[in-house]
Amino acid sequence: MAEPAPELVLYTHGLGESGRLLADALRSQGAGVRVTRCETVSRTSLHAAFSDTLGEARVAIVAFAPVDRGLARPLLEWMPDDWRRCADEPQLRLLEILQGLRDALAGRPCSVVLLGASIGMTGAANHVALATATEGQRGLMKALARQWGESWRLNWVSVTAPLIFPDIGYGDIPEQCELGDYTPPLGRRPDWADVARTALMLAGQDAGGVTGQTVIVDGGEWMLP
Amino acid sequence: MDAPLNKPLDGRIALITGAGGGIGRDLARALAAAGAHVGIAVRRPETGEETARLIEAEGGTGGLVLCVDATDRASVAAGIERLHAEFGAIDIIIHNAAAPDSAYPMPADLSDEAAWRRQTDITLGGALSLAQAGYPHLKASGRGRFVVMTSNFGYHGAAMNAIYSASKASLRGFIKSLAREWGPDSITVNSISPAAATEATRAFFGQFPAMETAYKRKFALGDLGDPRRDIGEGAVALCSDYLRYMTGQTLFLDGGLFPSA
Repeated sequence: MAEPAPELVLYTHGLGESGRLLADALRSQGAGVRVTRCETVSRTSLHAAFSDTLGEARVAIVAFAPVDRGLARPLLEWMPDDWRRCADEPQLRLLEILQGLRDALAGRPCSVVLLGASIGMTGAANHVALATATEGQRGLMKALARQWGESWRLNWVSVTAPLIFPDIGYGDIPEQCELGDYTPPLGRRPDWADVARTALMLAGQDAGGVTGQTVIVDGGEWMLP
Repeated sequence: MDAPLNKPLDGRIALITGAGGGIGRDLARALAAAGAHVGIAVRRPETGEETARLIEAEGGTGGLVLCVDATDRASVAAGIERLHAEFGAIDIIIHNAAAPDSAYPMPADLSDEAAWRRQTDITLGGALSLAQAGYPHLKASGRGRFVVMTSNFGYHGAAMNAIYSASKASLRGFIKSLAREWGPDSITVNSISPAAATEATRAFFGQFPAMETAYKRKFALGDLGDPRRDIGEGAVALCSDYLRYMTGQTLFLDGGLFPSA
């Protein structure tokens, strides 16, 4: 029997409406969701923000998007400052967010689920910066899962890009590899309820032996190894 | 394939960053032995001159030492233009340079923005500068190769250095996306994930021989790779016509350490 949905803190900086939809979907699955708000992304500010919202929660869901992904454009059109802000800094900021959460927890155990776009795993023309940032965040997740494994589990939910970023259409990302007209294996595209259920599964003790893993919620589109 | 079998890069022009030591030097030696003219991009000329001397001693095609700081956009562009002015083309760019920090354990709790910048300004800033400055020449080549050196640490998520793991992992998203952008120009974009017994690795294990023995057991082939033979010649294959249809991929030259798929 599935365990009851947990009390959790949710931080969705940069996701806008998608963050609200994720919060609603988590609540609809029975989770107690405490939204952590913190406009300034730094270790210190996140430490304070998580301290205010954690309570007894030992589950955190973090969906931290590049604040400014910039317009989709070829790599040749990126200026160095934009590149640093959109490809590099989202990785550093995610580290600072998790450091802040760790500071707030003060040694208490935690299960962390991170969300990002699957575009990093498939690649997409005109989205080199987003793919670079996202894959770096995922690599960081793995390293921290190993380094902080004594008290933390960290896992990653990879979400089809048009769901998490509505300005990216399905026509803007690579089509899956099947020959002929595309039909999702599940017969439909994933929605936020699918994402929420997967995140809660990974967050809970039913997945107590799982850490450093990635689950792709794309309706079976790519089936990446 | 037009090139002789023993010179699969005959006449190609290559630029390699961080070619003044470690794997970068052995990449330069291997590409030169395969017939390429190599731009040895280094921050300190004396290290590049030693690489050029080794290439010459091995009967290689010759190397041109270029003073390039991968964190400096103008420096990268100047190095590429100098190589192009010398040889009239650039067919291959390999971004190998990395910060020394990457070799040392660093607790994530203690990692800060300064430590982050020291690594990613080279890894990611350098990748952007090289790609942008090199693109016109790689396109004109008709068989352009853009290669970044990544690491198993980026794939399995090494505990010892989270910044290094993140920056190398990020290159996977970089190559997969850029491969899709540059495919129509016949430029392949790939990465190499090596596990090599560099001088630094040998020095480390010299202090901890028991650790070396245990580590080697993890390799399907029983040992770390030889930088010149196992990594360098793998890079030659990737840059040659033999693998011209491979793009957006990571070539794991790791003796079977990490089962990537």
